[in-house]
Amino acid sequence: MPPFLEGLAAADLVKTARDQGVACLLLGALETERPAWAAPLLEPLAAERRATLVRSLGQIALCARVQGLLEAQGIRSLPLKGAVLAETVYDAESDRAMSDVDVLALERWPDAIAALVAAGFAEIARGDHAWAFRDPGSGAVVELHRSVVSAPGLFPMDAEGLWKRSRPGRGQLRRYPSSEDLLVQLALHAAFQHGLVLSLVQWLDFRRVLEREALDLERLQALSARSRADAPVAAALAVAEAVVAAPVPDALRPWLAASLPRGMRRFIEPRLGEPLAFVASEPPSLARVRWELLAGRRAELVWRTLVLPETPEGETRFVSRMAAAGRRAVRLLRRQPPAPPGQPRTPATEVHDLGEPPVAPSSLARTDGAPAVPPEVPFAEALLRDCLSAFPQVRLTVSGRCMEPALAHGDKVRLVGASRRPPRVGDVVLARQTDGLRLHRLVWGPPLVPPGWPWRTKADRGLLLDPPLAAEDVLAWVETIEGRPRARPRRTAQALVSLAFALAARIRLGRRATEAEATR
Amino acid sequence: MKRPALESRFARSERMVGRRIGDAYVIVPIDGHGADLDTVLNLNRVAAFVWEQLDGERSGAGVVDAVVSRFDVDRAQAAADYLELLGTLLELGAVVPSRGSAR
Repeated sequence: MPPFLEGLAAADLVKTARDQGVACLLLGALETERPAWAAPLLEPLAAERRATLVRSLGQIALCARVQGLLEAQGIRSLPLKGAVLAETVYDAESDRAMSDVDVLALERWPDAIAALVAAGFAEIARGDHAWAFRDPGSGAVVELHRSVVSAPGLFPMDAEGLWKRSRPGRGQLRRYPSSEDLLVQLALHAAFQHGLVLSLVQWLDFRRVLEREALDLERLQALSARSRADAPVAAALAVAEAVVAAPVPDALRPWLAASLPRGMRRFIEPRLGEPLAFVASEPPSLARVRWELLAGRRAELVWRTLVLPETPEGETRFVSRMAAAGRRAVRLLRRQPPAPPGQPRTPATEVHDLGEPPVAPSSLARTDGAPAVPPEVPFAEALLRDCLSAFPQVRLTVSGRCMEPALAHGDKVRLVGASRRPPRVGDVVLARQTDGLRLHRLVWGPPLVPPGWPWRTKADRGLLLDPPLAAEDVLAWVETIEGRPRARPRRTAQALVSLAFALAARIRLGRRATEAEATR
Repeated sequence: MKRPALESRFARSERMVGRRIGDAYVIVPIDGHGADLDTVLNLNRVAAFVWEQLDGERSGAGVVDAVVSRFDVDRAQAAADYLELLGTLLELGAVVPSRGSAR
């Protein structure tokens, strides 16, 4: 047990341990070694352990109940991730906190949904690979999966094989996936779903599986190959080894080395020396990781990301799916996640794998005692941010006419990330406004304002300024407009004139309002 | 509620799960209405031992015998403590009479 760090508050340590899902494990270690500095931590951690045990047992019971409901309809299912791990590789369920439970339906997806709805479960969110439901009794959330990760089909699921290899449960759960399937699923989840950024306990899962499960390494390799998950497995194990000293078997190393795409290796290796880069709440480079993992299959990645098995309305016809794919592409770029038809949006903290609605970073500091799991970054903004940091330029199609004549509706512009070169007054910038991402002109900002002051943007054809912006709300600026080589997107003088007009308009409107007030 | 007899057999309810965490042993309800901390029962060493004996096969007398052989306690005291604990567990619905039990 290391010495207590100078200046660290006990309450902060407890909170961090809880956020990382390791509060109960920390308590176990403190109870064993009893360092003097730990005394004030024991009581809050003991309360945390008791609450986590109660919550985890209830969640696993829910998972088992969902399996039972599906089984009653003749639908085979298997639990995924946390619930399985809590019963198999941890000493007590309290050692593996979960935000929700996941059940994989192996067949008859529409019937599986119907079975939960008929049992009174309320749908609260939809993803392409899973739907989230709230149990009306406990309020706990279960994610019903048809695929382990997003973009179903990208990593083919052999339902018959999964079932055949599964094993009887030892606790509340009826069956578990095989150890090898479990490891492949964990790797897919870590690498593809979360961009290799997880909480500590989620990384510890890898170590525990490698330490405590009797893995058949040949079968592991065969399963990885069959589900085209070699790269995610290789990437996740490399990171797990760096973060939690997961004991990767030497016999696997040649295969893992050969399975890691070159770009992925370039991404991972410089970061392995600073393993906290892979621990929540570091922002994941989700789009970059997915891009590198799918080297050689990138067209398929884009296709499966956009073209879903059915439309949000449930249409499965190809034409409808293609139309929905177009809308999804636009929405991803504009970051406007859809709500399920007729359903209110889910509170951000409830669903962690579906990515909708957007999860604010502050949600990591949860107050309900559940561990923070790294939220899947809303794909649109993650995609945009990661692309902007990974590539010198990113292309975007302009919609709307508020920037004419500088930018016309349908123009294709090339954006440069604000992190690559800070924008300046006169640039057309892509900024996160209260109503979404907007391409407007920066009329008040660097080099005219000191650091920390708010920036202002305005549409060229607008009358008034947009609301004040923080520098980090500006994602990128327009460098060129395709097909118009002589166009100059940056117009400093125009920006200053536009600012002056906006201020004059504001004064004029303010005066009118005062006069109207006076005559009332 | 009728006081249980030592001849009766009881089994742990499927809606309760017992777990040892650290130095404590707790039994937790896991029915569909969520985990309620107020209904969690902390058991001491002897009570935890008794809980683990309630398998639906062994009679109360058999459980008391096991307690006496494991702990330094006289039989009358062990029997009284067993019946008191069993009453609490029955009230909570944590144990159920075993099928065919002569309760």
